[in-house]
Amino acid sequence: MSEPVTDPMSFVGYLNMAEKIEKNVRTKTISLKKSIKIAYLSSFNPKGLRRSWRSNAFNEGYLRTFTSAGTINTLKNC
Amino acid sequence: MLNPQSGLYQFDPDVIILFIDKRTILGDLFYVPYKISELERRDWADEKFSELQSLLAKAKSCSRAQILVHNFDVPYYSPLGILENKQDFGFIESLRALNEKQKKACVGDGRLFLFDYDSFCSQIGKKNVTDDRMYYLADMRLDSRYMPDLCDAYLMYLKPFLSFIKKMYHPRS
Repeated sequence: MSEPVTDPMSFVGYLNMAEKIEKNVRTKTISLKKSIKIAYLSSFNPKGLRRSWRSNAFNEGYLRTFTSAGTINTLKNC
Repeated sequence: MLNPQSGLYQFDPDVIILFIDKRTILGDLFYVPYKISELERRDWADEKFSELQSLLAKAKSCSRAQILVHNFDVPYYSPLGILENKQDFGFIESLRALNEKQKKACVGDGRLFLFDYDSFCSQIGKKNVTDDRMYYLADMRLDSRYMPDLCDAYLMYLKPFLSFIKKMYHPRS
């Protein structure tokens, strides 16, 4: 069985989403020495919203800035 | 991605990760792959490859980011069963061909990197990749149990990318 979520500072936004959906999903926190801005674009809805709630997931991108302190900036619908 | 004024480019990312999955690119063909002829399937593969290349070219011209693009996980199931391998250019072959074209497009390109999602899925087992319950409830294509593994796999790219970024901003350091 995976470890319970203990640290909200997950890496890719995927993990934040997973944390909300499945409480017992294991997460991974990494430490980078420098900040890195990652634009994460996927053809489906990485936030895990119900189909009826989302508009056009293909056009949605989720932009996040990652630093050693975790996610500090999020944009979407780019 | 096609709009140079979009939030994507205003964000000025260091890295763009593009994850288009096979269900999206195939559309209805995912469920009825043999409703088109072999010739149409070849055209489909060429057309999708061109569309992908246009997207990536736009991203390269509008940003300075390193681009990590997923390839497609090749399905392990064909509606034709054992006859799949008798097809000259079948459903599964078409995705393999698309992957091969993507790989060749990345060779020699310093900013474009291929994330081998097909191998990633093979590693965890293609049968386990999707949790059907969460796919229908929340449109999640990858079982959340494997998301940390996906992040681990991304790290293999992100760490070298960080050194690229350092060289770009501090060439003498």
